[in-house]
Amino acid sequence: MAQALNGQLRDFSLPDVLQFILQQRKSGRLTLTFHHQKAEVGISRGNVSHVDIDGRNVETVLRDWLLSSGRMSQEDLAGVESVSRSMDRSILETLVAKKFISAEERAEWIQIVAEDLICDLFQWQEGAYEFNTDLPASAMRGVGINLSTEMITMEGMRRLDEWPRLRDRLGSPGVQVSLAQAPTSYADLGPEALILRQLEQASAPVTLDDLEHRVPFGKFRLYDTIVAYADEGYLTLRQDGKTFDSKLPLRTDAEPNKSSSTALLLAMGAGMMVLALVVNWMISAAIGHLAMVPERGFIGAETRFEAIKLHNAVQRFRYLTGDWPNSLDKLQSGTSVTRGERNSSMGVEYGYGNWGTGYEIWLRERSSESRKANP
Amino acid sequence: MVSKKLRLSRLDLTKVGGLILALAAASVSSTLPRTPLQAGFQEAQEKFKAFRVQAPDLAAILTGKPVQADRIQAEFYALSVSDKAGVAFGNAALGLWNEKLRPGSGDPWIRESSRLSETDLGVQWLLVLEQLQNGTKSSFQLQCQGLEASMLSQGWMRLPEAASWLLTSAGEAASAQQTAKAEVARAMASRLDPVSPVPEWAQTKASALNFDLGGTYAHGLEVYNRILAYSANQQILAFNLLRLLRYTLALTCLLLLLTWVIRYWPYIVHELAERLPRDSSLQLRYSLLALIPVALMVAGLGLVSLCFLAAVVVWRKATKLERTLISFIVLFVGVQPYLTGLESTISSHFDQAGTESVYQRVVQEGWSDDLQDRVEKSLGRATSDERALLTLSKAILLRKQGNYLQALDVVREAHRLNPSDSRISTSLGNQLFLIGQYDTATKIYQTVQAGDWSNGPLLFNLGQSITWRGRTDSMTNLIANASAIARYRIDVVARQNSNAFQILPPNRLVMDPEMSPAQMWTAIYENFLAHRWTVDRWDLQTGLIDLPPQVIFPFSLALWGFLLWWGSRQARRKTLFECRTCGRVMCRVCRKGIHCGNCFRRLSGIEEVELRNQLLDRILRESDGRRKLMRLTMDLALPGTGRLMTKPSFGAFCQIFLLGVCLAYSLNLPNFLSLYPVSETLVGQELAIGILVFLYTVGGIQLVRGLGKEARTAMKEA
Repeated sequence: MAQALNGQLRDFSLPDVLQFILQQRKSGRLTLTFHHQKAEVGISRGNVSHVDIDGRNVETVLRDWLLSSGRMSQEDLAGVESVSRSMDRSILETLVAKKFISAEERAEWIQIVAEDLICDLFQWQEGAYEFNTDLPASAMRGVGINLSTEMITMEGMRRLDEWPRLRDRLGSPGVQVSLAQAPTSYADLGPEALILRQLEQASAPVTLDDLEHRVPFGKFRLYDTIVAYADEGYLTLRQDGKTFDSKLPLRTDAEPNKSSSTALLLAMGAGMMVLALVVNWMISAAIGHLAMVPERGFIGAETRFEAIKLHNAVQRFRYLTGDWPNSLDKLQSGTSVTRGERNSSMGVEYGYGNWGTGYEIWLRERSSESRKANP
Repeated sequence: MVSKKLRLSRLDLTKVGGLILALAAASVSSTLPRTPLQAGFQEAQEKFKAFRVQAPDLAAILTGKPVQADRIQAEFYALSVSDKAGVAFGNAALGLWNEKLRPGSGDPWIRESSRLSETDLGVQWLLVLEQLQNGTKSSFQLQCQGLEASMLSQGWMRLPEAASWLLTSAGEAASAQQTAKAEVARAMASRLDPVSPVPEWAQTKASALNFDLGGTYAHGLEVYNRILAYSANQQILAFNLLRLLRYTLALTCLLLLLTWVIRYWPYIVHELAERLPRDSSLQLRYSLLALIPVALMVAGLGLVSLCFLAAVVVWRKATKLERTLISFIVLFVGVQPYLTGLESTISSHFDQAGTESVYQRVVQEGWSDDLQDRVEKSLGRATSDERALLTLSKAILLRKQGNYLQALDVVREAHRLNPSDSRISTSLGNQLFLIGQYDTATKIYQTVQAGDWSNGPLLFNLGQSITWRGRTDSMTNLIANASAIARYRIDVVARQNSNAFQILPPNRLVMDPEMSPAQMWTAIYENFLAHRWTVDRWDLQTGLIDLPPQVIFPFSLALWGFLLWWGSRQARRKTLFECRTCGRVMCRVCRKGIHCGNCFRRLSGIEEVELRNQLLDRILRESDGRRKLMRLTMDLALPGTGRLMTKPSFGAFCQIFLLGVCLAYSLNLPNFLSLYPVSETLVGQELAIGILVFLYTVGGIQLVRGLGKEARTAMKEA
C-alpha cells in the first residue's frame, strides 16, 4: 500500500493535512487513529467524499435516527438493507426509493451529518494520520458527499473556537430543554427545526443527552441551535428545577479591556524610550565629564583638525560680522562648517562660549569654575 | 570594628578627593587649542581695534569705509614708532590708498608693512584678509607674498588654516561672480600651503569648470606630484580610502541586516508578541517590540553588539544565500578591531600626540609655545624608542628659534640615542652646515645618501653644502641624477626661495629631513604587526555600551560556529505558521486552522461558494497590496532594500552596496581628504549626492507606478 503522506497530528493538524491534500488535488483515503479510535475520510480531488468514525458514517447516523425517531421500524430497516444489498445501492437511495425520506431531505441530511462528523474530527489534537492514494475514494461505497475542504476547515475551526462558549452557556448535559413557544413556521427555521418538532412531540422536558439521540445532529450543532432558539424564546432551559437564561453566562468580548491594553502598551513603549533617553543622557554626561580631548589615533587626528576648522569658522564669522557667534549653530551661515563637524567624533557635542572679548571651544560641559572665571 | 569602619571611610574620602582632582584636571585639558596663527590672528584683531581708535581714517581705508583724505597723513605721522603692529597697519593702509589712486605706487608701503610685521604672522594674516576684502588684486598679492616670506623665514612650511580660509573666500567670490578674485585667492592658497593637494585640487576643479584644459592639466599634475612627494598626503589618502571602504561595507552590512530584520520581524517576535495582552492589535504589539532595539540603541548599545544580535535573531529564518551573507557580516564585524587598528596606525602619523606627528609638526611649523610645550610633554612620557626622534624635534625647534649651538648639542644627543636614523644624521649635517662646518656636513650627507637619489631634502642639503664650497658642477650633477619626485621637492623650495628672498634666512638654507613614502609605509606595516596602536571603543565609533575591542573577533568566531551548529539542528516542532490566505505569521495559540484570526473572522459563516471566493480574492489582493506597499516604501526609504526583501538578487545587493558607498561618501563619513581645515574637500561629493538623488527618484517613481491608479485604495487597504 503506497503511503503518500503520514505523520502525527501534533505536528500537522487535520486542517493542515486536508489543506495540503486540497492544494495537490489528490484523491485517496485519509486514515486517522487515536488510541482505539479510528476514522476514515474519503477524499476526491481534494474535497471530502466520505467519512467514517469508528463505524459511524452518514448512513448509520441517519439509519439510527430514523429508528429512534420512529419513522422506520426494525423490519422496515431489514427490508431496506436487503434491497440495498441486492441492488448494490446505498441504504439512503433505497430509503428515498421506498419514500421513507424525500430526495431533498436526503441531500440535506447528508450535508448536515457529514459536516458534523468531519467537524468532530477536528477535535483530535493528537494521533496519527496516513493518506493513501492507491485506494481511491471511489472504492469506498459513497452516499454522494461532496464537501468543500476549504469550507469544512473553516467551519471546523469556528466550532472549535466557539465550543467552550457554548458549553459554558448550557452547563451540563443534564440540562432540561422544553418548548416554550412554537414558531409560526417551521419551514423558515431550516432542518434544525427538527429539534423543536421533537420537543413538541415530547410531553415532558428532555435532557440534552436524550435530545442528542433523537436528532441526527452533532453535539455542536445541537447546542448551537438550542442556544439560538432559547435566545429567540422558543425554548426554556432548566437545571435542577430552575430555569436559567442562556444569555447571562455569555462571555462578553472585552472591548473596554482592549482600549486599556492598548493604552498600557503605548505607555510601555513611551516608558521604554524615556528610560533609554535617561540612560543615554546619564552615560553621555558621565562620558562628557570624564572625557579629555583625545590625542591618539584617528580620533586624536580628527579632533585636531576639527579644532582647526571650528576655530577658523568662529574667527571668520567674527571677521565678517564683527561679532562673536552666539553658538556654533550660527556658523552654518557664512562659514562652511557642517553640522557633523560641529560634533566631535566621540559623539559628544562641542561646547562653545563667548564673553565679549574672546571665546572658547571645548569638548564637554564647561566646569563651573571655568564659568565663574569667564561668565 | 568601629575603628576599621572609620579607616575605610577615610580611605574612600581620599579616593573621592583624588577623583575630583582628576576631574578638575580633565576639565582644564578639554579646551580645544588654537593654532599659533589662529591665536595670533585673534591678538591682531585686538591690535587693529586699538589702531582704529588711534587712526580711524587709516583703519577705514583697510576696512573699505569712507575716508577723510586730508587726515590720512596726520594720522600716519601720529602713530607711535614703538607700536610695530600699528605702523604696519598704517603702512598697509597708505599702500592701499596709493595703490587705488595710482596702481603700482603702493608697493613700497605694503612691502614695508610686511617687513614691520615679519615676526607677527597674525598681523600679516589680518592684513592679507583686509587686502582681499577691500584691496586691489596687486595689493592683495603683495601682502600675501609678504606673509609667505615671513612664514618661510620663520621655518613654517605651510599655513593650512590660512589656505583653507582663502579657499572658502574663493568659493564665496566665485558664487558672487567675482571670478578674478576667486582665482587669485585660490592661487595664493596654494602658495600658502604648498604641501596639501587640496588647494591645487580646488584650482583643478575651477579650471575644468572654465574649460581651461591647460590649467586643468597643470593643476591636476601638481595634485599628483604633491601626493607622490609628501608621505603625509599618501597617509591621508590611504587612511581615507580605507575608511571609505570600511564605512561602505559597514553601512551595506547594516542595511542588509536591517532589511532582514524588518522582513522577518513577525517571525522573530510573534511568540513574544503573543505574551503581551492579546486584546490589543498585533501590529501594535509588533511595534512595541520593535521599540526594544531602538531603545537599546538610544540607550547607547553599540552597533557591534546590535549586529551580532540581529544575526542571531534572523539566522533561523534566513535562506541559504542570506546565511552566507550573514556569516560574512559576522566575520566582518569581528575583524573591525583589526581594520580600525590599521586606521589608527596610519593616523598615528598625524594625530596630536604620536611621535611621528609631533615631528611632522615640528618640520612643517615654525616655533610656537604650543609646539614647544607639545614636544616637552611628549619627551616627558616618551619610551626609549621615541626619545631620539623627539630629541631631534627639540633640536629643530631650537634651530628655528635661532639657538644654533644649543640645537647642535641636542641633535648630537639625538644622534647618540639613535645613530642609525637617517633623519637624525641629516639634521646633524644641517646643524653643522648652519654653523659653517660644510665639509663635515657634506660627509654626513654623503654617508646618509649612499646612492639614494629619491630623498629630496637630503639632496637639497647636500647640494647646498657643495655649492657653498663653490662646486656648482657637482650640484648640477646632483640635480640631474635626482629622481623626479626629489627634483620636484627641490624645485618647490628653490622657487619659494627665489620668489621671497634675496638673501636666504637660515631656515631656508636647509631642508628638514622627512620620512620617505617607502620608509613611512614600512614603519606603518611594522607598527601594525606589532599592535603598537591599540584600538579602543572610540576608534570603533560604536555606542557607549559595547563589546570591548579585544573580544570582538573571538566572539564573532564563536558566534559564527554557534550559528552554524544551531542552524543545522532540526526544529523539534514547528511553532510558527503562515496564514494560507493572507500570509500573516501565526502560532499555535493564535491560528484558526489554516487561517489567521483575521481571515478566520472574515471567512467564517460564509458558506456560499461564490461569495467566499470573492472574499478570498479580496483578502489575497489586500495582502499583496500590503506586501507591495511595504516593498515600495522600503525601496523609497533605502533604495534596494525593498527588492532584497521580495527577492534576494545580485542586482538588489549591488543597489544596496551603491547606496552604502554614496551614503558613506556624501555623509562625509570617511572625511575624504578633509583631514584638512576646510570642509569642502570631498572630491566628487556632488556625484555621490547625484547618484543618491537618482536612487531615491527611482524609488519614488517605483512607488507611484507600483501603486498605480489604485494608490489610494492600496494605501487604504494596507
